[in-house]
Amino acid sequence: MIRFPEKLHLTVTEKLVISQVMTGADYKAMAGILAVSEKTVRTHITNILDKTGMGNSRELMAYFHKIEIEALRTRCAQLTARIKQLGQMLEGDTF
Amino acid sequence: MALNPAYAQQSTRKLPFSLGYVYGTGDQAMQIAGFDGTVEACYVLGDGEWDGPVVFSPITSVSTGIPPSGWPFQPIPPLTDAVPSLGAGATEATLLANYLHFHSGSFSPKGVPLNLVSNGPDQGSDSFYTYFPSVTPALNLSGLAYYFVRVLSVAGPLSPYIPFGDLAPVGIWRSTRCRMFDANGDVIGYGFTTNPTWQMIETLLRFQIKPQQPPLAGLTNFEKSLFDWPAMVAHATRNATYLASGAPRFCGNFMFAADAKLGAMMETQLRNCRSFKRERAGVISFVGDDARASVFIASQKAVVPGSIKLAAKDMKGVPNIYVPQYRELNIPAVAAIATVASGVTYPEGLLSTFTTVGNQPFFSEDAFAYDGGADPGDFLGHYQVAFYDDSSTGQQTAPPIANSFLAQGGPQTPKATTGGFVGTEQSRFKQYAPTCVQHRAAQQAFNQVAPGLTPFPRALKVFYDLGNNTFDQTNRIMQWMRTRDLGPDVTPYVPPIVGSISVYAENVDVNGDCAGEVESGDVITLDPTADPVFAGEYVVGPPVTDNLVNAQQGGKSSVRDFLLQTYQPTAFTDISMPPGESYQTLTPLAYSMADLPLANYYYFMEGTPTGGLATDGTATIGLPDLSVWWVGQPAPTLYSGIQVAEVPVGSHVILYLQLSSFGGAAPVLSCDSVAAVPPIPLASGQIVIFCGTIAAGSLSGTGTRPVAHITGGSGLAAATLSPDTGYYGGTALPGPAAPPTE
Repeated sequence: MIRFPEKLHLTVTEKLVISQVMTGADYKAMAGILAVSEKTVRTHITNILDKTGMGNSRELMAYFHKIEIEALRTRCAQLTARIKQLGQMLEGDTF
Repeated sequence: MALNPAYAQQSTRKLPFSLGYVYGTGDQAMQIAGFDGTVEACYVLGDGEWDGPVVFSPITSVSTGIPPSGWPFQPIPPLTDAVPSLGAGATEATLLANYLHFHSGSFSPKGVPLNLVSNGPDQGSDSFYTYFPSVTPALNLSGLAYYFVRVLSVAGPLSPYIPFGDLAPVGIWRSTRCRMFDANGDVIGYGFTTNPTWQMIETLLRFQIKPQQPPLAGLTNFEKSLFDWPAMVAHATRNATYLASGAPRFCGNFMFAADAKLGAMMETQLRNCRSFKRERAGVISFVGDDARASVFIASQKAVVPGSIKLAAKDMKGVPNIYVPQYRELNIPAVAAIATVASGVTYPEGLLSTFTTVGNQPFFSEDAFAYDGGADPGDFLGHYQVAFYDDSSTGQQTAPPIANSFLAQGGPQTPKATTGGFVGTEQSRFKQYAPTCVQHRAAQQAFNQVAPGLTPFPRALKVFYDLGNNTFDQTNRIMQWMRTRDLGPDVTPYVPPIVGSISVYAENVDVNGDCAGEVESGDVITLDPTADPVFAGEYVVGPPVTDNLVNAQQGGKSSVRDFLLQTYQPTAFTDISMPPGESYQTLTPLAYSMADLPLANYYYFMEGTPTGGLATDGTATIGLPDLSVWWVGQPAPTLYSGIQVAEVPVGSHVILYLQLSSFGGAAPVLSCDSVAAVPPIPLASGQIVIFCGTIAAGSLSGTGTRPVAHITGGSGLAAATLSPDTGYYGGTALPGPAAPPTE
C-alpha cells in the first residue's frame, strides 16, 4: 500500500493518479482507468510533481518507493526490537 | 431487427445513473410485432445493478399462463390502466417466463457473455430472444439493467387492441444497489437503499475511484484509505434516524441524466441530505450540516492584523423564495379511508372491503396504493379494485360505487384498518413545486423610496431540483437553505455577516484548539478582542486556503484564510411546515378524470344542463352539447338527441349503467339510486358524468329505479358501439388546481 505523507496535502484524485503511476501505467491507460481525459491526467501529474518537488513520473515512483522502503525499514526495526525484547523476557523468565 | 449499437455491450454510451425509487420506461433497444399481434420489446434502464420492479404495467394477474381477463383491452401505453404489483395474484415465475424478463444488470467479465439460460430474475432471457428473427444475436448485457416485455394478442391479427407503435411501458423501480460499509471500510451489505450516505459513496466509487468496475467485491486497502469510515457510518445513522413525522431524516431517490458530471451529482445529493463533503489530506467524509459547537476561538492574537473583511450580506440579487422541484414519492390522496375490512373469500379470491370517508373515485381493475393509517409514514400495500360475481343477479358489481369497494392483492389483513388514504399508483411521481419557502423579512429588506412610504418588497425565486422526493423532506431542506443563507425570518431583519479573515495556523486558543485543525464546515467563534463589531459564531466555508509555502520556505508563520458566514443555529429543523394546500387536500371529486384509469368497458358522456328542472323533475341536457364518447377514441362520435331525465331536483348524479355482458342483446339500464350515489352539487357550466357499460345497439329504455335514466338518442340505436372503435385514453375534465406557487 502506498503511503502518502500528510504534509503533501494530496487530494483524492491525486492519490488515485499516484496509485496508477506506481503500477507503471502510461497517461493513456490512466485516463481510461480513471475515466478522465489524458489532459486531466497530465494536469494532476503536474500538480503532484509540484507538491512533491519531483521532476517526472520516474522520480515520483522513486519518491514513493523510498517512502515505502523507509516505512518498511522502520517497521523492521520495530519488529527486531520487539523480538529482541521478547527474547530477553524469555531468557529472564519474566513472563 | 438488430440490436441498437448504442446499447451493445461494447458501447461507450453512458446510461442514466439512478438511485433509490425511480419511475420510468428506459430506452428502447429492440421491438418486434408479430402477425398475430404479439409485441415483444427490450428496454434498457441504465447502469446496473438494479434491484427490481415495484409495480409494472401492464400485467395484472396471471395464473394460467395466459393474460388475465380484460388485459388486452388495457394495453400498456397510457398507464392509466392497471399498474399492479407483480405479486397481485401472479406467480413471479409465470410472469418472468411469459411476459416480463427483468435483468438486474449483473456483471460479467469482458468478453464472457452471461449465460442466457440460467434461471432466476437476472437472466433467463433466452425465451424472449426466440421471438426475434434468428439473425438477432442473443445477448445478455453485462452491467446494464434492462427488461423484455411481451404483450400478447388474444383478439387475433391486427386487432385494434394491440399497439403497433412503441409500447412505452412504465414501471416504478427499485434502482441501483449500493454497497454498505462498517466503520473499518469493510462491505457489510450490498442492496437497495435510500440512505444518501451509501448512495453518495457508491457514486464516488463508480465515477471517481473505481469507475467501470463491477461492485462485486469490497475495496482495496488503498481505496479504503480514501474514506473516513467512522464518519461515514455516523452520517448514515444520522440520515436513517426516524423523525417524529414517521419518516427517516433523509432519503435519496434520483435519476441522473446520462451526461451528468460527478460534481453536479454530488451537489444535488449533498443538498438533499443537508450535508457537505469534506476532504482533508485526501480522505473523504460526509458531514451533516447540523447544530454543532464552535471548534476554535479566534482571538486578537490568532487573527492576522487587518485581515478581517466582514460585512452584512448584500441582499441585492439574493434569492429569497426557495422552490423545491421534485416528483412526488408519496401517494396523493384521492380518497380518505374510513375503514378497511380484512379479506373475505369471493369467487375471485380474497378481497378486502375498503370504505372511504367520502366518494371513492375508482373504477374496477384500478390499481391503487394504500398509505398512511395511524402512522402517516406507513406504506400499507398495493391493491387492485376487484370485480366479483353477484350470484343473486348474475351480474358483476362493476364499477364500484359510492364509498365502498373491494380490492384484491396487497395484505388482505391490513396492518391499519382505519385512517390513511388511497391513491392511484400512477399519480405517484407527479411533478410538484409545492408551497415554497419564503423569507418575507428579506423580501422587505429594502429602503423606502421616500419617507413614509412602504418599502417595495423584492422577491426572487430560486429553484432546486430534488429528484423524487416528498413534501416533508423538501420543505425541511428549503427551510434549512433559507435560514442558512438569509438568517431567521424575523422583523426587524438582520442580514447575515459574510466575509473572510486570515488566522495564524499555529495559534492555539484558550481551550487548546488549534487554528490549523479547523476544517471547511466547522464553526468558529470570532472573539470580541479580535473585532468587537463582528464578534460571534461563524461557519467556515470552502475553500480553506492554506498559505503554507511561506512557512516551508522559511518565511513568516503559515496563514490560513477562512471564508465566513454567520452560523445560524435555527436552520437545522427536523419539522416541515404544514402542507397547506398541497396535494393532500385534494378531494376525490377534484381528481382529474384524465388520470383515472378507465377500463375499456366504459364510455362516458358529458353535457351541460340547459336550465332549470321541469315540473316533473326532469332535466334536459343541451344539444348538441351532450356527447357520448367511447373512451379514448381519437375523434369522439357525437350522438345527438339524448335526454337525461329525472335528475333529482337541485343536484346532479353520477349515473352508472350496467349490462350483464358486453354486446348483450337486451339493453339494460340499471341506474344507481341517489342513496347509493350521493348527489354531487355542481356549479353552473360544470359537467355531469355518466359512466357505465352499454350494449351494442341501443341506449333506449327505462331504468328499473326511477331516479335517472337515459332515453332516446337519434342515431344511437344504430350506432355500433363495439370495442373496435377505440380502446384507451379518456377525456379530461377540469383537474385539480395546480399546487400553489408564489
